[in-house]
Amino acid sequence: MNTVYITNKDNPFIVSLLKEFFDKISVFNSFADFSTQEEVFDSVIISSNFEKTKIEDFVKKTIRTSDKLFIVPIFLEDNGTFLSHENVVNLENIKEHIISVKNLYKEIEHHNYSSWENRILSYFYTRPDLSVCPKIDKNHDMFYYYPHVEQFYDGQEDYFYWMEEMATQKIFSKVKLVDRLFCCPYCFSALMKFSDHCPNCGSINIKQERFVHCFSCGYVSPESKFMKDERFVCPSCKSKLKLIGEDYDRPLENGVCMDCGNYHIDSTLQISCLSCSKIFTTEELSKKSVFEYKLTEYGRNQIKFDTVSSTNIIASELNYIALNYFIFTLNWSIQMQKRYIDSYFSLVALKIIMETEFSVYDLLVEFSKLLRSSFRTTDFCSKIDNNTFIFLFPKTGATGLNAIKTKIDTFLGSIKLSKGQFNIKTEYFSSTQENIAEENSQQILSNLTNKL
Amino acid sequence: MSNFFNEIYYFLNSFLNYEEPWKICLILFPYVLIMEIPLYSLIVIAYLKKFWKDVFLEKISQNYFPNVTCIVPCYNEGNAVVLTTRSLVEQLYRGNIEIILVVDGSDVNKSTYEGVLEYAIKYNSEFKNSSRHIKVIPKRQRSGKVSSINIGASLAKGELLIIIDGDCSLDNDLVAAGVRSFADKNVIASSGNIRVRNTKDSLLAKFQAIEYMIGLQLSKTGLAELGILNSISGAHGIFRKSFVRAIGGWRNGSAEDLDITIRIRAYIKQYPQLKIIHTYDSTMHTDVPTTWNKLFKQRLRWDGDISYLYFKRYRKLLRPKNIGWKNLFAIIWYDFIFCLCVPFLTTVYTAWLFFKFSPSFAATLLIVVYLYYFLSGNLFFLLYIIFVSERKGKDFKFIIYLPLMPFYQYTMRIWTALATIFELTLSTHKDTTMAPWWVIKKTH
Repeated sequence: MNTVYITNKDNPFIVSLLKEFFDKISVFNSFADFSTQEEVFDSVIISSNFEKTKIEDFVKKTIRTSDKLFIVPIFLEDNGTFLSHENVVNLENIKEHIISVKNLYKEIEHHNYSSWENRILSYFYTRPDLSVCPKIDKNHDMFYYYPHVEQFYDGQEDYFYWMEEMATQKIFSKVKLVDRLFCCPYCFSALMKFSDHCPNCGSINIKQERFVHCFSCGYVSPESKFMKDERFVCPSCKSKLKLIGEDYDRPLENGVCMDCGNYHIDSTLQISCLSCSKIFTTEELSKKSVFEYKLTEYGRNQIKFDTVSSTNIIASELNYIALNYFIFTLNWSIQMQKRYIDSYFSLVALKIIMETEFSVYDLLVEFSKLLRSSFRTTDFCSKIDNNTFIFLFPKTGATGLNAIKTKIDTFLGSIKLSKGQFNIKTEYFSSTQENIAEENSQQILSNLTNKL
Repeated sequence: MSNFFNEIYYFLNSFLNYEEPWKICLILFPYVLIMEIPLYSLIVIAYLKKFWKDVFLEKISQNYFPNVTCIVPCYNEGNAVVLTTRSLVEQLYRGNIEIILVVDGSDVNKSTYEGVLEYAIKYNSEFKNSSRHIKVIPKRQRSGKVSSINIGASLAKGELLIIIDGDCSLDNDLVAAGVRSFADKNVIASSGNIRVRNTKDSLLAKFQAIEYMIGLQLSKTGLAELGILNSISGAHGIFRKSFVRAIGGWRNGSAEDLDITIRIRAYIKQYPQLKIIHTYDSTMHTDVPTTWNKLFKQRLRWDGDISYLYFKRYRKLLRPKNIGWKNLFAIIWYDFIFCLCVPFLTTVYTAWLFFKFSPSFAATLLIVVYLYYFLSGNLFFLLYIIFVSERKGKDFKFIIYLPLMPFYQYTMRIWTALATIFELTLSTHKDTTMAPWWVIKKTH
């Protein structure tokens, strides 16, 4: 077991202690020294003598971005005790943990770790017991952050959004609702400034003033209009108002603008985002929930077979089956069609083309809703690759298929995105006894997907 | 029967045609001519002098806004205290007002305590920057109104203390008007104006409303101007805190208001520059008894308290060396003769009339007496409307009840006589509801 110990102070006691536990220990005196080597290690131990920010920077930029090292457990050594985000607290468990991570990592069937999302999903796969817990931080835009995710996150997109998407795809489950925050509708920051303004001129120079209602004549006006020589005198009927409940009452408390003189019941509450400087009203506020997440069994399988994609939303809540079962069912349908003339079936193949997953996620959700509205409980779907889906509609002939085709075309026509950013290519197939006479399921699927 | 009325007519004609009617009046109504008319005249002259000074001579400082503490002793008034508190926070006074609500027996009077506490918490949190602040002090064990006022006075932060009953409402300039005269550092206490709130409830309440207008408002202003104000009402009084603390606050027992006024008058003998005044434009509104039964009970306590204090508690204090000749003379004349003896004389005189003279002559004399009280009542009422009333239109409507007022006054005088007899024989002041029996029995 090959381990690195990075420390800026000579600490022979710790080094000898680590040597007892690990087969090989490489000691580096600085992060820079470590960065120059190319050896692959099983774990990294960092002395707590380094500044916290430097450690965080090193972990994020050097370890978690590296294709070879991103998965390794990292421990913080503090006077002989070992700390970790990964629920491992003593040296005896460290070894077991490192071996476990290593073995689970080998199970994953893909080796493309160019994106931080792939790296972190593999990281969670190798730590099955780990919960993704938020921590509070007043300096963070959302007041919360996920320490595990921040180690990997490249800062290009909102990772809260990504986690929500993973939960929608059932890769993560929401273990607990930790908090619910109002946030900026533009940047989702919770750092906001609230101020009330005059609804007429927008000035912040407003104050609350109590109103007086004269019982004698019914005149209602701000208190200041009634004040005369420290007494209330009705400006309308000149009555002296002395006794509340008998001469006058207080109907309401209103705002008055000191700049334009406007009287109003409700001032306009304006919110400015301290992160993006945008100004908006309370009606526009977004609400964001902060959850504790955990990887699901379904998620583990998706990661293991490298099938995690935002396009999975398309198949959510439909009768999704593995491709081999799908082919089996298709074969059965072909046999039925061959034997019975009215046992039609139809196939729809979809290929989703998009530049970035985040910007079109909402469209995918809309599209999945459309499919759900056309889908029956007897229909099936499966995936050929990450972006290609295949749907089987038993007992559906050319007429039924045309109805589905019209719905999909209408949806695609309504999308207002720049060309190339998002597109869905479709191919349709409706069975007759003639067009399947010489075909099997593999051939039909190949013909369909090749046209996409 | 017609003979009876013919005789009355004849006697009345004879009175009116008598060459020197004042001589016959002196014979038939000596105490009216000797005691009442001079006193009334003096009060009216003093009041007119005060009015003249206020309007044309003295300009009271308008830049005096000390911190004021309003002490509201509460017992089982329920939601009425919330209304009182509401009219206190409504005050238009420019300075700070601290409102101390002392709930006597808060364990028993839970609804009162919880009601005011809820209002205070809501107000204090809603109007954090307000210059009014409400404090609720619960006294778990009942110990009486006096201890409530004294606790309030000891906790008060204001320079002036305003004592307000827990079941009243206040004009929004009560504090501003009441405080104004205290710009003169020699003013140590002031009584305030009390109006009847529930005038619509009964005819009896209307009579009392007129009685408060003339008897309290007009005469107190005149008496204060003469320097012989006899009582600062416990329902509405204003005091300089430093002075109250110096004299040890209020004393236990009934009639704590009359008690503190007598003691203040004694201090004024020692320190003649000090003054007690009546502020006629600092007005609070209170409910009065609406049935004869309740009214008699109330007056039994009030009138009994006067004789208890003068004849028992302060018998030794009422000497020229203690309170001065002027005050002693005023007490003898106004409090002793006018308030206590005249009711006896009236009662005895009525009985004597019917014993001595024929029924028709006695009835004629009573008609003359009625006419005297009716005319004098009208005169005072008009003076009140012209010079004192701040609600002239509203108050003037009471004029239709003036013909009945002499009957009310006559009944109340007889009752005062009975109340005095009860107090002197049965010590009825100990039956007060102002404090529990274990407190009253210790008073002497």
